[in-house]
Amino acid sequence: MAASDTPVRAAGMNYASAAAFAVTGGGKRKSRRAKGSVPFGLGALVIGLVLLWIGLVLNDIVEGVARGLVGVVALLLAFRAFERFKGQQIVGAVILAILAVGVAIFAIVGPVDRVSKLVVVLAALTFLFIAIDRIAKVWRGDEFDTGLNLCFVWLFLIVFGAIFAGVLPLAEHQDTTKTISVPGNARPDLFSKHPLGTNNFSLDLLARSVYGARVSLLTAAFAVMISLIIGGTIGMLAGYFRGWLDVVVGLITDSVLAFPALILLIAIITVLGRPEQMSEAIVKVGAGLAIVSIPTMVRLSRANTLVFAQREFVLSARSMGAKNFRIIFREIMPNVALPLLSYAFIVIAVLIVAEGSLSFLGLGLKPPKPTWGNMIAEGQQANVLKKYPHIPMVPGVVMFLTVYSFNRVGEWARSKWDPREAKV
Amino acid sequence: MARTVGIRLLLIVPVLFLVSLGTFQLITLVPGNPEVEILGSNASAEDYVRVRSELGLDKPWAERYFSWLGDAVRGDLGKNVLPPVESVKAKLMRAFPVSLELAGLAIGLALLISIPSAMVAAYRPGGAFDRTISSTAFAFISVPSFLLGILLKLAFALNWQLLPDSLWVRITEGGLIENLKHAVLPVLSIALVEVAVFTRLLRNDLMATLQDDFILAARAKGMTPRHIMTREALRPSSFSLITLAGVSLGRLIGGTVIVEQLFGLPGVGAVVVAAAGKKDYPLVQGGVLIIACAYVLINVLIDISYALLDPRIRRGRI
Repeated sequence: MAASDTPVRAAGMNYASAAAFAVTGGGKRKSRRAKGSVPFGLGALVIGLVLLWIGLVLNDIVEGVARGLVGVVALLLAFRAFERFKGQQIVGAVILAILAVGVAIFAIVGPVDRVSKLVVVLAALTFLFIAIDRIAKVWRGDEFDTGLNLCFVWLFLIVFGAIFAGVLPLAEHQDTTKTISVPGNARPDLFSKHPLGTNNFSLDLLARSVYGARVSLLTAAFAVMISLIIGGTIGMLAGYFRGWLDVVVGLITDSVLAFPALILLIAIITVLGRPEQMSEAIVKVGAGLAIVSIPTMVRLSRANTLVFAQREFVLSARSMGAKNFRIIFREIMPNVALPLLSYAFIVIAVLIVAEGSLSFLGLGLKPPKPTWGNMIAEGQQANVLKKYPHIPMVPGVVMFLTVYSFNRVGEWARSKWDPREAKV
Repeated sequence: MARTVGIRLLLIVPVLFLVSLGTFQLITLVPGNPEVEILGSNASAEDYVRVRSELGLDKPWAERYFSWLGDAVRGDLGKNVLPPVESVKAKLMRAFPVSLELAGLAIGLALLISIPSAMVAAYRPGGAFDRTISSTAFAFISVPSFLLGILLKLAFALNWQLLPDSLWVRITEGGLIENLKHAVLPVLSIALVEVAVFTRLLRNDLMATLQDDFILAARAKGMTPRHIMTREALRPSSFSLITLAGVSLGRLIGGTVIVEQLFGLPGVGAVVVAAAGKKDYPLVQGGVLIIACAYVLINVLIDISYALLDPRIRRGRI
């Protein structure tokens, strides 16, 4: 619908907008983002550290503290419900009140003891986050995005761990003959030799998670590089030359995209054979992941090329006598590369999950060599899961944090470098 | 309209052709001799010959492909190689309804949760509800479905014992109630991730629509927020959601492998994975072909329904 024949225009725009302004109150809502504050931050820091201490060490009072914390949440909810009630927002008030009562009942008679440590540690982490947030904002200004920066920190840690896994003081991660004297299925205990516990074969879960990061990250990075180079080039050629090349490339990408990614990946690995060594896993699974992700890259790069090929600087390069090759690689590529690279972070996140899925299904690297996927698979049987939930949870949390960080960084990179959001 | 649909239908022929070619090519990519890979290295010579001819490897490539394609078009996908030998078609026919039910229920549930929450979130962007929903959705996008499945299984099946932890009961065997009971956890572990994606998408589309002039007009006329959201804004905002829901449905028919494996469900994905583990190539080929064709067909249906829903496309060209 063209803008000129909308009912509002027909009825007289000024009147309508003035009326709407009156109805909605106009103006932007006040920003609710917290401001930097040193005393507030230090207070949160102290509370967070105390809670962490209670959660990890003082086992006697942890249940009481957990019940107290849940109770505080109930009180906060009740307070919000009261606010809504005063503000005449009855529906919201009722929902919040029901929630508050539910949480309060849970705090008093619920099975809090089962999850008390979790509750206290989560509360501690929340306070620590608030502390970092408030203090960092004093330093770097109120626009500082603490969550995003913590994601960068996590990615740095995990990449650092993956690179230097060999020289870090980690316990045994894959050789079961060396762990005969070590207790198996040990629970996580931050102050022991195995801070995150051990698995059924007494292998250290922290060490396995770090070595698993090697496989996951290298595989995903390898696949993204290949798909960026091959997919990016094909997409640029198709978008630049158009014609029959574009049609053929479009058909082939459509056909590859017709296979659900995981099924295609499974088929490829079936054909290539299941990897037994780490380097083999990276090449084989990486090649499979690259094939799966190339079509997406082709489309992205084609869509971006289409836009830039129309621009004046390409025309001027051509009128100065530049050949196609030069135009593609010297004029268009630098412009297409940035949005593609910013998209690469999100693709890495997807590929890490895909690699994990493959290993989880028992088609990735063979255990006891660790990947996050096969570590999680170790804990999937009902009896293991019930008795030792930490075995799948430790690699699961590591994997979640990594994927989350890549997604978050990817969003940020895209908003920074790809404001146009090319249509795929 | 008929022309648009016709062109769209014509375009799938080459895609399906390439898909079948790719599926068929799988087996020729196996390093070494497929029959040795299947039977191991110490089977008898006759067995090798038997499997080789069953796979059709004793004939030239083009002849093999076209006879395979001809059979496949007529619905005959051959027999699987390893015992228990039966026709691939029968195996897949049993598995397909399971995957379809899982995918359908998951998408339905995801829409049921995501549409209202997206509407509430979009009504007050930046409000408490919006921030909670948006950050939760972002976190859920990063949770692999197998991790979510394990968590749900641990909480609901093992700790609180509210629901069965696995395995499938067909409607024909145990009735609808039992069937649904066994479907809850798998469906939830698929749906929650989709909820996150759907909510984010619909919220952003709704926010864009709410900037439009006709919403301003409705507000100025004194319509209630509920009326504006459900009657005015939802329909023009829902096109990309419908597309995405359809694409997800197609993707999930093969893509529920993980959840099928985790909860022991006999879906198409699980059949393919089991066959892949045992190198039962005809079964892998058949399964992949069926999944890919279903996906292509669903995508075409979405494109056509899109034209039906959106009058702007109906009148013009895609």
